[in-house]
Amino acid sequence: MAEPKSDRLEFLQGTLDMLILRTLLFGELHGYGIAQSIRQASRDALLIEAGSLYPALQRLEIQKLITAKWQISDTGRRARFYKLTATGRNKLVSTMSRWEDFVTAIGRVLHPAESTE
Amino acid sequence: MQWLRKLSLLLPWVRHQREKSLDEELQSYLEMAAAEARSRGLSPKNAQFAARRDLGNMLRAKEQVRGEWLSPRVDQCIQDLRYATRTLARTPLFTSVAVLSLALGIGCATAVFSLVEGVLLKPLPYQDSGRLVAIREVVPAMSRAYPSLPVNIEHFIYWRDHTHAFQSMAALRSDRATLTGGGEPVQIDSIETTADLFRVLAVNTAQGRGFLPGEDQPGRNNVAVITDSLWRRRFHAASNLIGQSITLDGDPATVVGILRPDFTFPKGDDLGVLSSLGKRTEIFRPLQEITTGWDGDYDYLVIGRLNPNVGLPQGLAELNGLTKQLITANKVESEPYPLCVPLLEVISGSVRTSLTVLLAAVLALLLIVCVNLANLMLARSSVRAREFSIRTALGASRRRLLQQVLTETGVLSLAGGTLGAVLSAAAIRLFPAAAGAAIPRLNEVHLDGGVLLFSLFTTVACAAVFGLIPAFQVSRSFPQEALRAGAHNVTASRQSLRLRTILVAFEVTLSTTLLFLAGLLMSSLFRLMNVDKGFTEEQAITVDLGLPGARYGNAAERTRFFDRVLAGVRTVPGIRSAGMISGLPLTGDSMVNGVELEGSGSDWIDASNKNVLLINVRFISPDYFETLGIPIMQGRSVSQHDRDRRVTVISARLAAKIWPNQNPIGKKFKTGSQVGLVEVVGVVRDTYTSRLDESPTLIAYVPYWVRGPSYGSLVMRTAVDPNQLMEAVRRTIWSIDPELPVAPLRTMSDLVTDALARRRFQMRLAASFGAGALLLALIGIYGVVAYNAAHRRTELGLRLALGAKRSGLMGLMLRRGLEPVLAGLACGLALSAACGWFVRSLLFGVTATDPLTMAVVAVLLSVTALLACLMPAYSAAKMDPASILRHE
Repeated sequence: MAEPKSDRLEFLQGTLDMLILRTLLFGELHGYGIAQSIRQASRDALLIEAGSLYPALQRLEIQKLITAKWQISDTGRRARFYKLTATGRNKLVSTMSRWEDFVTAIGRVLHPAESTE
Repeated sequence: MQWLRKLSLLLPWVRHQREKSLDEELQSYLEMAAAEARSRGLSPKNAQFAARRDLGNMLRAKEQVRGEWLSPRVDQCIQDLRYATRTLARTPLFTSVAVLSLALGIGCATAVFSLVEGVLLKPLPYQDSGRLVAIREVVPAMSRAYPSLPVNIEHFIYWRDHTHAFQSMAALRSDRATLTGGGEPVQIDSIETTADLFRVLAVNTAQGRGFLPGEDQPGRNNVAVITDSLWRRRFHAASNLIGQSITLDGDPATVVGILRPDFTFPKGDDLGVLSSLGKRTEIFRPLQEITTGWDGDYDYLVIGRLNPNVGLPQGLAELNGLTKQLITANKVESEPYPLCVPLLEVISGSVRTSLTVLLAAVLALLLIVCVNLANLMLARSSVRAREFSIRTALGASRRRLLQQVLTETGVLSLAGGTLGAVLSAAAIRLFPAAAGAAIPRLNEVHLDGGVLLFSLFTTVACAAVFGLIPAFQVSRSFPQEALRAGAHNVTASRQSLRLRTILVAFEVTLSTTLLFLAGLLMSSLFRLMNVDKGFTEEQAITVDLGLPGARYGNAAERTRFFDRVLAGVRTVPGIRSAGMISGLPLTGDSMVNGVELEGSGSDWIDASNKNVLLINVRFISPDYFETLGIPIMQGRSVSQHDRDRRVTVISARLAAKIWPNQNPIGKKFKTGSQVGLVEVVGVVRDTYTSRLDESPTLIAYVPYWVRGPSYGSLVMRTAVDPNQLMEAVRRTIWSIDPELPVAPLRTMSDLVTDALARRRFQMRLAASFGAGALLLALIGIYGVVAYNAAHRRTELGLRLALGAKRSGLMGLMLRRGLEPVLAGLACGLALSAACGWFVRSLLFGVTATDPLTMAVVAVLLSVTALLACLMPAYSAAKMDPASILRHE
């Protein structure tokens, strides 16, 4: 499919945003921690570079879906910790359900014989 | 709210904070990644590398985050701005020259535009002023001398009573009134008008009211409306002035209204009436006495307000019809017809040509400034060609480079434009002092929205003109050539050089034209100032006296006054001689009548134009001619022995007109109803009543005792500095009549200066433009030649080393420098001839293609160009070839 570049970028950005929000669902994390968490959860399939991570974090912060604070990490280092807000939680729920619909739809197209409708 | 946060990022300290925070965060990311890598067993050094790899490109990361803060475009703009300011600051000479010349150019253009806007374009300060019309009459028999005349009062009344096209009309006339009581007696300029004037103008008073209908009738017309300035000045802003009585011309008048401070009424000269309206009208009165007669005096200016939806042609057509009716009904022999002109046109039409020329000239000057700047910018970008090529090689897009160069020109323009706007504000403040008498509506010239918009527009236009050329040159840079060691971008620079040469030629063309026009105007003024005015103005003072009707009711009393005052003034030490005249030269026409030769029964017709010959009549004392140094050419002046005779002295041109090649002495004629039959006893040299650039006026001088005029000007020739005697003269006059208002005395030289005020102003402006154009041409030519020399140093060094003579080299540079100048000069002279044709109405005594002026301009520019080329050529020829070659 020939999507315009900006659409694809937004699509990818939206997905990354969603992953970050999901990662923060159960607690605060700093930037490095988020990247590690996503890598581990996806079994090394998704490697998020700082160059994509930090802009995404900035976007989410601007949209007030997460908040940030400087704190001391468990290793004694100073790091900026991100936390999910209530708005963020709601956004995550709605985005996740849309994503699941999306995946189902694509699945139907790719494997039409297995559709049960 | 989000955009507010985004805007706050423009503030440097906010941004700094953010950057620091980001840096720290990325640093801690690195450390954590390194720690993790170490925990996996890598050596510290390898752990660092692993962490780096993990992070990815740090710079790119930062850039991406910044991209989230502000859109990349805005970010780029800020970067460009900072870079542009830095580069401009690095070359302070260039930057200051550029900003200053822009500021001067834009400032002048804005100031002149504010003049054009305030005087020509802005509607008059009355409600719905587009419907205001000035009405005059044309008498065919007099139309050669006077293309239009004021209106006859009976005609006005007829129109007013029968019109449907006009909502209201008012007739007005100028006069002076003597205000006594509450201070020194003083004469103030007044307007006598029909009751409707304020309704026609649609102005409200600040206090009280205007005139009621019927208040212009005898018995009810002893009321007055005064201006705010008179109220403050004379009555000290007394709060209960309305209803009080003041004394005007010895009679009581009730103040019924005070006008608003912002009320303006055009100056007399601007309304172009035959009798001069005062400089600054301060009081309005209803008509005090009217000169009746259907074919009598044409004395009144009429202002009418058209009804809505009625156009000027319709109004004129109706007036034409009405005039024909009244001509038939009353057998008006002179058969006048009306003329309607929009009031704005009447007031400012006289300066339309000169202001438009001025605007064109100042825009041309601005264009020269831009051309100069484009040249300088080209030179700059040629020098930076290497830098641009490196940046292109490193990946900068053409668009980005273009953006950056345009930012530089943008910053320059903005700085120049802002400074220019400030300069123009100062200039506007200075206008009334510099040009007060010369330009109408000057009090309405302000730095308002329209003017500022114009300023902005010119700034942007300038940026476009002088920015685009170097920008395109930049975008055509070739990386390989530039990076080659020692190369100086031969190809690109040859194009650039050719472009710069063309620009110089263009600049010289414009400068030539401006200089030529300046020269024409200056020589016009010079010739005008040297016209023989017919009298000697040095060491002479004059004072205007007006005798109030209340105390000087008849001719005998008035004559006696002048007898006594002349005798008294002659006794003042330092006064050599004294005379009087009812209207000084150069103060305008007055008492204009026809000439009826004895026995002919009708006015004398000038055969050359079939018009009735019109002359000015002046009442004089016997010593008048001697006092002002006007030579008697035939016969004698009037004398005390003529007390019981009616005699006259006529001006030379009048004698030549009516009695060519004959002796006019002894001939008799009648002129005007007040003078009767007079006999010619002398012929005197011509003088001018108004403009020096027209033919001298035809004047008949009659002794003052014939009629006892109620106003007259004393003239006195002094043996010492005239200013020292003014107080003594005043005291002498007051010793004869303590209650007589005495106007400020002035010297005859001042009078002449005032009369030439407009021309003088033009000349000053022309001179400044000429000088500006010359200076700019100098800078432009110098710039090109200097650049040329610097740029070709290698080549010149080689030439020298190979045996070329230094003088030969200098000759080469001079030739190259002067070629475009000569080409520009030739084109410029051609353009000048065309432009001269456009301004021919402003010239006096010179033709539009005056060869002398052209020669002077050509020489001036050539010499300037030569000087401009000499310096760089000389320093180029003095180079040490060895050091040049070593450098390369």
